[in-house]
Order: sequence, then structure tokens, then C-alpha cells
Amino acid sequence: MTYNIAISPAKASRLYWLGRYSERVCSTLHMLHKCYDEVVDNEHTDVHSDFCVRMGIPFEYDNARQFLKNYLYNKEKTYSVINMLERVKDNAILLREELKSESLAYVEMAINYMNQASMDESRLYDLQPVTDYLFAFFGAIEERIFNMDALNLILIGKYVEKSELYIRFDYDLARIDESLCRLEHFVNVEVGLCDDRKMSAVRNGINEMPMSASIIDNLNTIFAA
Amino acid sequence: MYSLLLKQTDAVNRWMERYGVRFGIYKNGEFKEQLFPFDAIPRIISHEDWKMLEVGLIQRVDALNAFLRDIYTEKRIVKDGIVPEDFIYSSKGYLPQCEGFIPPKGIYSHISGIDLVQAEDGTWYILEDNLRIPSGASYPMIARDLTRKVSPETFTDSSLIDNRNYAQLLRDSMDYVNVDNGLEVILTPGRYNSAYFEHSYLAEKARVVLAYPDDLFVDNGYVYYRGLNNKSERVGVIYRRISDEYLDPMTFEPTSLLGVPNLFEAYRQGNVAIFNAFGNGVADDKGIYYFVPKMIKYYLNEEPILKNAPTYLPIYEEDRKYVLDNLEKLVLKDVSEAGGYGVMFGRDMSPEKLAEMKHLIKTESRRWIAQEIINFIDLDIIDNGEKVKRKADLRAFVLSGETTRVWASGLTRFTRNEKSFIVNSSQGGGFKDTWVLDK
Repeated sequence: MTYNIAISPAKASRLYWLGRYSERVCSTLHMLHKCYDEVVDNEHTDVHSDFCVRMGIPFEYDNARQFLKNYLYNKEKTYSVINMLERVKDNAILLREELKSESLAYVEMAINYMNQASMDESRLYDLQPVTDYLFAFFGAIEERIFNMDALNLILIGKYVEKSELYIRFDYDLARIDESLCRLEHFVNVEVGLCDDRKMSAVRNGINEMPMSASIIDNLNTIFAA
Repeated sequence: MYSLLLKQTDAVNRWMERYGVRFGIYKNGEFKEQLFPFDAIPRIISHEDWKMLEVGLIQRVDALNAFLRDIYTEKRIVKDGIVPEDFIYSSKGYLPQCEGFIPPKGIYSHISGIDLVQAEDGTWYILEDNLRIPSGASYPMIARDLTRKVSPETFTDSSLIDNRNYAQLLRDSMDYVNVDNGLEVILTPGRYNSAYFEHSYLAEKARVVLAYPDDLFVDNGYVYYRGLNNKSERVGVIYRRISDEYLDPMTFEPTSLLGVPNLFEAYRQGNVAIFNAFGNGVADDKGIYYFVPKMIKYYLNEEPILKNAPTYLPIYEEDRKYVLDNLEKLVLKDVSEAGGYGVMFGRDMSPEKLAEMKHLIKTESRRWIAQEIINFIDLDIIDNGEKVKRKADLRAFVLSGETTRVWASGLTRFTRNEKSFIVNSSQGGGFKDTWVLDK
């Protein structure tokens, strides 16, 4: 049976945002772990306000516990992890024929787990299976997507998101550079889909200290579709 | 034969959940997705029964395709007085825009979903023909895949036909009618359609593109899939999962946002195959159902192999008198309804309701058909851990391409309500796999 391969701009956009949201869930759970690790040494550290500032989300909670509960599980908040996971599903469910049912199943399992965790008000460290499922998802799509343009678009989204979060959280320059290298690779493969000038501006910008906010703007608009 | 599988029912349902095997319903204006309840006890069809069903279904679908071609061209069956003219032109499914046009390779119904029941004496009856957008094949497809996974022992040395070839049958039919070897797409209205799971699953398994309305456009009489970097690909066949009336706002419902403007014009120019064809609704109208055995004799010069349920048309005086005299023991169907709606059992009606319906039968005769209630066999299902009997039907799928073929499986739907005959998923029914024995 031969394959019919074609990607419309709307589908390209779904693939890209699937990559971004999946990475955002994984990375923010990781960042949260790191932030709360600081509380171990100093319980009065104001980790949640710092986290909110870096993520660019409103700081509207009295204490870390309240923040965490809402940040993880509040479906009313567009920035909550559970909502981000819903956006992963929203995009993935429209892409079954590219991702394949076996890959999509990991997204289903992540959201089912998260919904159950929300009902149980599970603690942060109980959410490791969500990350595991999404890592399995990334592995599964590399195995099962035969349309390389589709896979590359997901990975462009993934590395835009990863690079942005690394920049927001002041990661070591070498780590940021690694992530941008991966992004640049996929941008170069998908000729014409991304804005090369913006990619160059991002690469040049990270060498300037302090980094300007325009780096993140450029990153967010690299994908033209 | 399936006792090992029964022990794994929970495992099958977990896999169903994992794969997102759902259907959508609208309740109180709100869209909800829910799992389609699966019962692990399969419906088993003997080899002998299947051989008979297979030839009977091919015969029926060939006759229906011949009828559609005739109705939109010569209308011999009307001229010869077999089907009354009124039944054609008053049918909601008849599209005058299709007059005089024969679709690619002369096929109208590429996928036909034929609903059957088996009576207690073993006789199979046709309940309904679905020639527009019959859905449901994906559920037994994935059920077989998952049941084989969780209970391989059940299928070792079994003598049942492997049903995992549906996607190949679908592709064969699509390939056959494809115009100029263009792109093959399944056109879905989107995620909030009740059968969206099926659209996406079939696209995956048949390896065709799942297209949304905005992905397609018509230019100069040809249909294109909108690609990246302004590169578009010519489309040769569209397996549409959108009803005729919403498919092209320039020809049909002008407010439709689900359609592709000028698609009908491209179709009429023969530049794209629409799968199933426009205008098929005229042949699966509940009123036309009455005439299908006559069509088989007329077009194929054969005796019908499969029976219709005994049906009465109130437009005929003799039938009307019988229906009015016996409504309490008949089932009355509104020909304009589908999905199990508009089906009323005389025995359940109050005296006032009976009087009201009798009045409507007299004043709007064309709107109704009445059928004898077939006491169809109950199938075993597991309900709260107990084996109980419930009403069930079978939707068989017939695919027309170079030849007409019947998928050796089908969707067995059952009611979960002890007193109900309505098996539709939209009304709470569940489904089973359908096993066809090969010897």
C-alpha cells in the first residue's frame, strides 16, 4: 500500500504546536522540580514568584502550596500543566494518521494519568509518569512517522520551546547553544518553512550579555506557517 | 471458543481507552466524547451463513448501484412502473443536480453499510441500506487487533477469517476510482463529529491523507490539497465524511462552513471521484427500501437472496388499511429520520398516541413505513459481570470497486437496555466483534 503524503499549512501548524506543548509540559515539570529543590535548603525561598516571572505568567497566589496546586491542576488557568497537556491532546488527536495510534496512545495515557492525579491532588513527584509518557511519545514518533517533514515540524516546535525555556531560566550558554544547534538542524532541512534571518538573529543574540528580549520574540516567530 | 478472551475483557477495555476508541455525542447542546462500550463475546457467523450473506449482499448492492445509475440517467425503472415517480422526486436524498451524470467508473455506492438482523428461526433480514456515509467499520477493526493482542491463545488454531484487511479493501476501492492518480484523502468535518475517531483511524490504516475542509480548494475545475510553500497537490478521490447538503456551499447549503466551494462542479466535470457519490440518499430512503427486492429482479433478473423485513407502505391503500388495523403490533418508522430516531413501536403507544399516529398515517402517508416486528435473536453480553441476553443487529460493509466485495466481519451493535430494540451508539448501545468462520 503506497503512502499519500501531504501537509497543509493548518496541519503544519498542528505539528509544530504539538512539539511545543509536549516539550513545554516536560520542561516545566522539570523546572518545577528544580525550583522546589531550592526549598529543601531554604524553606522561605520565594520560588513560586520567581518561577512565575520567568514563565511570564501572573503571580496570584499566597503561598507555594496554593501556587503549585493551581499551576498543575487548575483547568481554568490557560498556563496550568493540565491545560497544556490538553493542548497536546488537541493537536495530537487531529494528527492520528501521521503519529499512528501507538504513539497517540502515550498522549492519551499522559492525560488520563494527569486527570486522575488532579482528582487525587497528587504531589509533584507523583507526576513523573506524565514525563515518562511524553518521552515515550517522542520516541514513538521517531519510530513511526514516515513523513519526515511531519516529524521535522514537530521537532522544530520541540526545540523552539526548549530553547525558549532554557533562555528564560538562564541556563548555561552551552546548553542553550546545544538546543539551538538542534533547532537549526531541522530549520535547515525544512527549507522555506522557517525564517532564516530570525534564526541567525537568535544565534547571534545569545552571545550578547545581557540577552535581549527580542531573542524570545524571534524564536517564537521563526516558524512562518 | 472465546472463554479465554472473556477473562481478558478488562484488558481489552484498557487498550481501547489507551487508543482513544471513542465516539462523540451531543447532549443538551454540549459535545462529549465517550468510550464505545465493547463486549468481548463475539457474534459468530457460520461459514454456511456467511456464504449466503456474502452473495446476497453483493447482489443487493449491485442492484442498488444499478438503480442509482438508472435514476440519474434513463429512469427505466420508473417508466416501467416498478418504482412510483413520487418516491424518487419527493425523496430528500434525490439531487436534481446529479441528473445525467455518471461518476468515475460508474460506481455510486463505494461503501455500503447494510443493516441486518437474524430472526429466531435463523433467517437473516435486511433492516436498512446505508449508502451515504455508513460508519462503524473502525470499531471491529481495532477490536480484533486488540483482542488478538491480549488473548492470542483465543485465535491460535481458530477457524475464523482474519478481518484486518478492511483498510486494504478501502484502498483498493479508492485506487480504482481515483482520477488521474491524484492524492487520496478522507475528508472529515473535524474533531467534533461523532465519528471522528473512525475518520482518523481509517486515514491512518489506509495510508491516505486526512483532510479538513480548509485543506481543499477548487481551481479551474480541479480539486487541490493546499500544501506548504504554496505547492498544492491535485486530488483524485475524496472519501468524504460530510453529508451532501454541506459538501459544497456553492451548490447546496450556502451557509455551510464544512464544504469545499465548487467541489460539485469539479465532480460533475469528472475531475475527482467522490466516495460515496452525491445523491445516493435517494436509494437508501426508508421508503425506497420496500422496492429493493423488485430492483434485484428488474436489474439483475435474479431472485433476491436476502429478505426484507415485511414492510408496508401507507401510500398504497391496501397497505394503509392493514397498518391502521394493526398498528399495535407493528413498528412505525419516519422515513426522514436516521440513527434510531423516528422509530416507534405500536405496542408502546398510549391510545392517544395511537390515534395521533393513525391520523398522521392517513394525512402524511409518504412519510411513514410500517414493518412487522421481527423477533430477532438475542445475543449474550456481559453486563455487570453477568451473562445476559440483549437485542443486536449486524452492519455488514460492502465495498465496490473493480468488483463488489463484502468485508468478512461487520459491526455488531447491541442494546444495553433489556427492553429496547434500539442498538445505535448514539442511544447508549455497545458493540461486539463479528467472527466469520472459514469452515
